[in-house]
Amino acid sequence: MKLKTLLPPALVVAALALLPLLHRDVYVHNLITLAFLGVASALAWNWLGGYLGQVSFGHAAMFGVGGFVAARLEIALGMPMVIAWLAGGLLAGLYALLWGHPTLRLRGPYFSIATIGVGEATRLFCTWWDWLTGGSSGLSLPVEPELKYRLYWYGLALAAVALAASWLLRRSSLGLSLLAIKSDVDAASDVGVGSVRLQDLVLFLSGAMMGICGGFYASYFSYIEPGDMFGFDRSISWVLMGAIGGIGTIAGPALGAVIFVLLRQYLIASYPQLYLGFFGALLVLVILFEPLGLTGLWLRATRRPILEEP
Amino acid sequence: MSAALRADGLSKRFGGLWAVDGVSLSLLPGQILGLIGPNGAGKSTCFALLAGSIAPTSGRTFASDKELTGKPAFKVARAGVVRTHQIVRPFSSLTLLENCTVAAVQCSGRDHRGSRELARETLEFVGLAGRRHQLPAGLTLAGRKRLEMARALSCAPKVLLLDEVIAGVNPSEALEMVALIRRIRDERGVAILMTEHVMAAVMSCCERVLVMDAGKLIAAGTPQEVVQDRAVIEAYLGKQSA
Repeated sequence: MKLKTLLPPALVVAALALLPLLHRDVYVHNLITLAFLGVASALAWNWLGGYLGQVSFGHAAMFGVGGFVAARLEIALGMPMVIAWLAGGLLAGLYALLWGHPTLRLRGPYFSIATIGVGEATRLFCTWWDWLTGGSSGLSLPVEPELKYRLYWYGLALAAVALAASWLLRRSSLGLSLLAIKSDVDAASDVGVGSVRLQDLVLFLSGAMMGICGGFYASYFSYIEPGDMFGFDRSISWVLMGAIGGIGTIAGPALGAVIFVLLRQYLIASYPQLYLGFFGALLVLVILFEPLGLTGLWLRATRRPILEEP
Repeated sequence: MSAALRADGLSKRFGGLWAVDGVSLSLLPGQILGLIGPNGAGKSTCFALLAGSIAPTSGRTFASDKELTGKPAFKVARAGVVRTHQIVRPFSSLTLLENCTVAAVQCSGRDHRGSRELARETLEFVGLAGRRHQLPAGLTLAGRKRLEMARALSCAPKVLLLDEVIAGVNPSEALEMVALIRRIRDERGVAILMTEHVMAAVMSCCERVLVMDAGKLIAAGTPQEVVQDRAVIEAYLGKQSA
């Protein structure tokens, strides 16, 4: 790998890591932490929705499973935070395989509809299973002073890992094969691409990363409840982040996530009744006029071909 | 000599229709074998059966001596039997090089870098190397048919199943395509089974031709022999003409 490709992202990460030393604004600090979480989760969603082209409206299921498993492990066993996140991620990935292995045979809208069912069913089951989730009253994690402040750097690491993984995935044999499946699953099969295993693998990776993000979220808020963790609007938010930035690209969902998190924060504070309507309208506009989102606009502005050589 | 590809009593039934009915054939290493027949004769179904796209109702298929019967398409491709499509199906979001790299990665046994190299060579071989960083949408139909062949060749196959690669291109492109098919056999040592409606191409490419009608093989022989065969003329033109 060339230094030239590695240097700019490394500098950005370093700058973001040092940023908190320059200001004492806790509100901004926390907002950036949430943006990191958005970037990591939107990219994880994009591995399935963008690279494989299987748009999930139910990814909150894995986010929630990861979050609750991590929270339970921390409460019951006093497990270190990061280990608990990873354990939650592993279970979330396995849970994704459980419903995804049969469902990924469906393609396009049929798959998407199935994921809505999976997401809602998971929410209802988990609200009922209070041994795991504490039911509707949720779970509280022991509050550690200053933890929230420190999570900024954990979030940065999470986002950086997700970005690096997206970049590697796009350039790997696996990524190419996924794009081939997305383009034409039968033609891909005719040149040796076995779709079932690869689809399962990317679903596992996507679900596991979502679960880790769920664990992070639990630590950040130190209180979680099923209605919020498994909420349909949470699942939709990743579709929106992708659509705003450009589904299937790398920078797109990351940028879309930052915009979404900031915009949502502003709209919830200013127009709590209207914010979902606003996002709905935005989604319609993007899909009508620029299906590749901001990436599409940028490509058009710079008159670049849609794809560059990796 | 064991056949590069062999089918024994291959049949496929769709409801009450036997689309392919007891077809046996064998393709020798280094041979170019034609499969012709009127529309609806079952050529494309036969191809789909050989490539593993659909499973046969009965009958068996072998590559060299390895049984392929009932294997899914991606395993058949990895075993060295690769098809192209009559209606071209490029991976539209991938560059030409990436289109071929995917195939090479899955089937050639090379690593990613080696696969890219093989893909580049193959594009060179079919004459598309200069466009390797473009998307398939920029190609003419003849170009896309070349890409379809390059992608299949990137699997480093032993057997290539060419489904009407010449139909639809203009006469000068057709001549180039015939030359390309010969070069695939001569320079790459790939055995080829091809269906084709353009008879001139079949006559000049194939050493041997099989004729299908209504799911069955009705004639076999050199191209000159089969075009004079009574059953073949009947199948194409009706009883009175024969």
